[in-house]
Amino acid sequence: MADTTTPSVAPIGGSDAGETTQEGSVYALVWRTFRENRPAVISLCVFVFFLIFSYVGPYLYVTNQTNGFIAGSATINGVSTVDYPWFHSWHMILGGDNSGFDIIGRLMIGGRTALTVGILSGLISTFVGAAWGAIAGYRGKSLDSLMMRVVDIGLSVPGIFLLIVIVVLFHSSSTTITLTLGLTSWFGSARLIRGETLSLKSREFVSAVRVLGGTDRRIIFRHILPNTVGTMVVIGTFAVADSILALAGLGFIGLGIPLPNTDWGSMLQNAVQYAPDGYWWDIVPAAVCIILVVMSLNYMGDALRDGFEVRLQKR
Amino acid sequence: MLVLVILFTFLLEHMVPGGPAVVALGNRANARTIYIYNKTHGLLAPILVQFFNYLKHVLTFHLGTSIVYHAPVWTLIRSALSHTIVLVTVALVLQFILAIPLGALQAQRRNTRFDYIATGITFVLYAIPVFLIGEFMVTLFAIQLHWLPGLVSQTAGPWAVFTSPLQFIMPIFTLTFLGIGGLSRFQRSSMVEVLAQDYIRTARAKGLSEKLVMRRHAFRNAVLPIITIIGLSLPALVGGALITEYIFDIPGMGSLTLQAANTQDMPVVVGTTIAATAFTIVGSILADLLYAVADPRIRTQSR
Repeated sequence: MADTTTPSVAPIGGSDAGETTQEGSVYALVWRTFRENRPAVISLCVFVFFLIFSYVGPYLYVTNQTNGFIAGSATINGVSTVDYPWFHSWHMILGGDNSGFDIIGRLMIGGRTALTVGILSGLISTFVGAAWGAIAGYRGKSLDSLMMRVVDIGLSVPGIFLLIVIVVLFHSSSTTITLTLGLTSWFGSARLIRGETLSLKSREFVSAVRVLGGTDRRIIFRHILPNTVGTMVVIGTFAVADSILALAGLGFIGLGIPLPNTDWGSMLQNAVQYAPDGYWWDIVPAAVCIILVVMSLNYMGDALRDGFEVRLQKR
Repeated sequence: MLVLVILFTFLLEHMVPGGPAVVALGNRANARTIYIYNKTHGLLAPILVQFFNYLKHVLTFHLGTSIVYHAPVWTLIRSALSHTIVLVTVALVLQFILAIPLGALQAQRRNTRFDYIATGITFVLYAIPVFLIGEFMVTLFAIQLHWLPGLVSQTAGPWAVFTSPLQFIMPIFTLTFLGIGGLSRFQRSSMVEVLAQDYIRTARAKGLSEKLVMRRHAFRNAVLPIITIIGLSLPALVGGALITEYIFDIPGMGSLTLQAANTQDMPVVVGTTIAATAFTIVGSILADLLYAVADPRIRTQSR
């Protein structure tokens, strides 16, 4: 884990640079605490599994995911694939949904959208929030109170209502949903990064840059933000989890990614309609995927937070 | 604060291709009707004037007319809002009744098996989306076991939660479980922090019974920070109420919003968003006031 690309994190405070080289880079330290946390390592494995499952899976396990009824008109062992239970045959291990789509294949493309939208909007929310918080915290005074008032409002609006407004006003697609999710969830991270900026801006290295004639923009983006990387990684992990949950919620109320594409929430909504008729098994696969991915992200976030806190203690 | 939210929806409406006229008339309005609408509704005026008109309309509850119901949006909201308020309030109270003792007990028996099991359960609850809890309960109790009704009666008034509670058991608990994970974890860490304080050691040293130490000294101090969480957890709760209402067909704000969303009834969607936000803001302010009541230090300061 030797890190040469972003050395700006290690030499905080300058004097303890020797200690960090002695102990290896900061990231090695974080990785070491992370590795000791068994649930976190399992979570990492689960998450990587789902990444491979969703992005590589469709190439290894080829299914027809565009034309359901052609697939659905087929019968396997005399049972139509449309109401096909689990483990009925090796052709469709988890059975088929109401349109005859193979559920494993469906989970793969659903996971691809869920993870892509989740990760991208998580990144957007983290970076927008970090930039907002750093600028507000560094500039202070009236700009700070104005910007933080916006954050207060953002935190008090129930996000799902905003999502619905935007999905209804502008039509729904993965791009609009990604942008909306990202741009309506950064308020929490702005608040956290602002707090960290307030403590960073009184440090010597910031004064040093200012004395050397560095502009505010340079100080904020080159010196303060790189020093909040730990917080940003932790926030980002939770933000991705929250986005995946929000997308699933949106899909569940029928405003998710439009057909023929799908996401785990839309799969759930689809399955739920047939649950009263006894097809309850259709609900389980997508539900399990959502819970596993979100839980693994939460555990990893917790472990990363512990890791970065250890880094702070060592300093 | 509300004014800025209204500004936001105002800007959104203007960002839609075609502007507010399309929002009010629907996607299929033609150029002529749009022009007439713009002219009769003062939408050809400068944008700042338009905003102040819009603000005045919203603040006097003129939120436009629903395309689908042909009724004023505020009338629709008013009948729906009471359902949501009752649902959210009952769930909020239940959350605290369940989560606070759980977290406190966990802190008291820190690192015992009870603590680990409770932590595990709350962690799972934290990761399960609210609609899965709801669907799971419906599938189990309504569809498989036939113990509870799966939907809420449409004719029930907002107070039906208390008059015929059976049909509300599942919706209320769905919404309650939503916050228990986070709340009990917060209560646990707050209580752990308090238990490490000097005054707890003093209380123990002067020979108070463990029960008294916990109740009088630890619990009271640990509960205080939780009250600030009320305000912060309200948006999530109102959002959860939307999904809960969708699952159980409760005629509240959430159902109204979703029906409107599915029929492209934009004035209603925008109106409910403003109303839901106003509701959460008022709730947060009430929570702040409650904090002042609960914390004797703030009470004496203000005197």
